[in-house]
Amino acid sequence: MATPSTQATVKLQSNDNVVIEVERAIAERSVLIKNMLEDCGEVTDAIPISNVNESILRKVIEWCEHHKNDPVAAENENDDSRKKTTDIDEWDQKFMNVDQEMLFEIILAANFLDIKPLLDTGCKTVANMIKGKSPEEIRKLFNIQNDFTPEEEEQIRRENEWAEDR
Amino acid sequence: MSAADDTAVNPIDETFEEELIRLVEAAYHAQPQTLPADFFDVPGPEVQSAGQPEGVVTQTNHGPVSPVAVPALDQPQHAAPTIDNDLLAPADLPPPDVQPPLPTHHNNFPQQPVHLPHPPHNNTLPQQSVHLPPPPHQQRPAMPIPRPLPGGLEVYVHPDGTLLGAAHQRCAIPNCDWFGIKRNRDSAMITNYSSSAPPLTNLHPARPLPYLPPELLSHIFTLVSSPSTFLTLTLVSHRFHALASNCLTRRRFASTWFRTYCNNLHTPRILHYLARYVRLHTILGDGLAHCKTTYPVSKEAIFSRTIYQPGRGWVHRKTGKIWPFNWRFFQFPFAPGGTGWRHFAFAEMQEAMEDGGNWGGRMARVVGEVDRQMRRLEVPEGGWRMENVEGAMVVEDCVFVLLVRGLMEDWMGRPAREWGPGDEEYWEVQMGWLGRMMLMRQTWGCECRVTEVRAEGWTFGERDLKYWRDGLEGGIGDKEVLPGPAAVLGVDMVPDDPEDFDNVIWAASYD
Repeated sequence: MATPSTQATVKLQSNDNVVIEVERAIAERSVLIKNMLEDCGEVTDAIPISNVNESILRKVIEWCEHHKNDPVAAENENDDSRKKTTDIDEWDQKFMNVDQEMLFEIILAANFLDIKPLLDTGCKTVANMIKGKSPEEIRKLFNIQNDFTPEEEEQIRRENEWAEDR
Repeated sequence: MSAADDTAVNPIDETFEEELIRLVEAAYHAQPQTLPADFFDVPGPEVQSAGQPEGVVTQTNHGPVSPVAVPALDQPQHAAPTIDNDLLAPADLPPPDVQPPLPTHHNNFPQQPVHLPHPPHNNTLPQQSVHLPPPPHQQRPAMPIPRPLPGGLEVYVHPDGTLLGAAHQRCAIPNCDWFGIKRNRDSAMITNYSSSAPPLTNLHPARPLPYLPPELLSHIFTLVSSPSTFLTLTLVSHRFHALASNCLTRRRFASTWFRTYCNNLHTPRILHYLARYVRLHTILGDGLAHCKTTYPVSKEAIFSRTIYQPGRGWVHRKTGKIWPFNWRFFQFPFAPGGTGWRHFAFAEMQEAMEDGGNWGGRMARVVGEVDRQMRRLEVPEGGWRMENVEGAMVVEDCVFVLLVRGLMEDWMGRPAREWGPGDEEYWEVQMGWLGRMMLMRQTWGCECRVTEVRAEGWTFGERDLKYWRDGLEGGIGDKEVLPGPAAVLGVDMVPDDPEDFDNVIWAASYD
């Protein structure tokens, strides 16, 4: 195992070849980068983030900067997480107030970089967008084609009949 | 004309038949080519109608005529169209002069048609299915399939008959994470839904939600706030349906939902215990089976004199008329049905259920779903117990909890959210609602272990509803019908006045 590094910053290279230098502590919000740095020790070259372009990478770094002092999430998911599905921090709500394309790119980047709190925030945002909507509204919202035949739709409605209010 | 006569007049030329099939398949799957000019001059069935352009084959198969367009050599090559041809009605086939449209699969994933051996010919023209693209308005995009989840060995069967599964289980397609098999009469189409396939860019430049990887989409589904929204997702598209129907997604949703909402802040935590209790006992076989507990069920009446006192917990009083619970159901411990597990679970709700709203019927339907699920699940090593049955909880359990909460809100005339933190204690002190479950959780303990699912006996479902409705509708003739041992949810109803027993038909007599 490499010896722990004391370097203060690391360079990240987006897939459009832009190099961004960030504090190591901020970059280490990403478990992927954290593990990489732990394994490799001192890294002077830019770390290629092959799945993320510059604008998304900057956005992710912005989130990491804001949350750099947050406690690391507990491993045990059984802890009381009553805020898990609905509550999103006010700053995060503003941060996620972007167009759908960017929102999904942030989710993908968070998943790739293994930043679970950011991933959860993005997914919660999408889940809240779905809340209370009909199938047609969800399709319209996310540009989804209805690929059910009427018979299939009827069959699925029958499958869910047990939950109806009657 | 009989089949024999037909054969006599037009003897089948098997060479012709095979050649025809070969040519049509070759034209549509790989190598476009024209038919030889003298191809139709061979004696045999009518294959060419006057006035049809070259390259159009007409199959006469004792059925409707289906023109089949065969692309000429100078036409551009197309990938093999593999849209499922169940959708293809003869009348909707493209006109002969129309070039076969490009398949419109939105992901351009590799499609690999695989032909199963033909059934033995019995001297009739084959019921040959030809892979043709349906007209654009009938084309459906290939259904993206979720990645295999850890331990996900189940093969999902889509309502249209498509089998979905992980590639490593069922076939060996390089770089294929997921595949779908659609069987037709004599062929099967395997579709590779590998997530390593090139991403779609032309149709949805903004990378919309449905093209997120399945594991992320599944994660989003588990975070939606209500079971009704979760169930709505099944109606959005095939892909959403496949993901929201996956048992692991449903379990994760329930796990998240219970942690988030069934924690005394939104909904009393005791309902989580009740949901587990009900799920475990549905498979005891006899709907009235007793729960194995340290509590002496023969002393059921004592329960009615057990109260909760803040600071002292549960206190049993040997004398005095204290009816903190729904007393009229507990003063007759000898009533038919006794104290089976349903009695423990539902007795205190019975009176509220009588008040309308069809709460009992709705609960019976949901519990019926839970019952059916439990009968399909494999019993884990060591059997189902209260400790491990939580792992089997899915969306239905969330709906059940919401129903119980709704019933209570209805009965008490106030929404649960007004109670605020500590509402469980409120119930214990003020109403005794679910007090029996609380005793079970805190004092008696359920020690049931179900090592085999007993199919015999009586389960939830229509029979419950029948008894329930008869009870609500006021009985037969001048006699009141009350659900007896086989009552909805298994709870006995007894008349207020014991002398009224003579005027009661117990629903058990239905059998």
